[in-house]
Amino acid sequence: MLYLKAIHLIAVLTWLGGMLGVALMLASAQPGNGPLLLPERKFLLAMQRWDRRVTTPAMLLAWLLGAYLAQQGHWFGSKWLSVKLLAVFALSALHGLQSGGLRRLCQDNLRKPGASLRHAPAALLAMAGVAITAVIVKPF
Amino acid sequence: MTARPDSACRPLRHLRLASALEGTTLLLLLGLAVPLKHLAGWPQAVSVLGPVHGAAFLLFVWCLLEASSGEHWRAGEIARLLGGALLPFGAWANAAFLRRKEEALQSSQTAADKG
Repeated sequence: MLYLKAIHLIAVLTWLGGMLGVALMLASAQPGNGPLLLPERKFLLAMQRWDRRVTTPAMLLAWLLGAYLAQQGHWFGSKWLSVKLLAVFALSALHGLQSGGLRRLCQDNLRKPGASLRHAPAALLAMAGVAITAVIVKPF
Repeated sequence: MTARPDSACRPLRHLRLASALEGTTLLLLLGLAVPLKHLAGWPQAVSVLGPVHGAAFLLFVWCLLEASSGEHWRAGEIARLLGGALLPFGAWANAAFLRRKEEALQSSQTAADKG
């Protein structure tokens, strides 16, 4: 069980780290500066590959192991877990928006970040804070 | 450095698969696990299928947001698919809608390639 918890934590860290990288990149991309230069495009494609091959599988692993651990611990129904699940739902939704935004940026070949993703880094840290606090402190 | 021709359709295919998975787990939960719990006093099926359906729904929402933010979807289309996912058998209506959208995207890509 401890090994599963460790793998869950590694998956969560990989997922959130990957998300934070994309969030910062999308938030710092400036609209209307013309087509991307080749080094910028290569960097974007590398980010997209990392998102597809590492960050997204880490998210799926975090979900599955998290659900298994919650079931084994008989935690479903606890208020702190419900709060954590809401935060995980919001983080997953934000990751979906980010992945689509990154794909559009690569395909359109223009700097056009979604306005809704401008505050993604702060939102990500806030939601991660809620999830971690709910698990560690179990205030409810 | 250009995107592969099928790359625009891939999120729609993933969304269609996630929608089918979500719809199937919802039907299993409502049609099998819940009756087993309340009529046969066997709650284990709900405790297993509940989290499985939760994960499938999460996957569907993730795929929906990835596909819709990568293209330019209308809010009504997103709401329609989300509504369909909440209803039993709604996944089948969603599948038909997504297949039409995929075909439209493929034909527009073919036209763009020829032009």
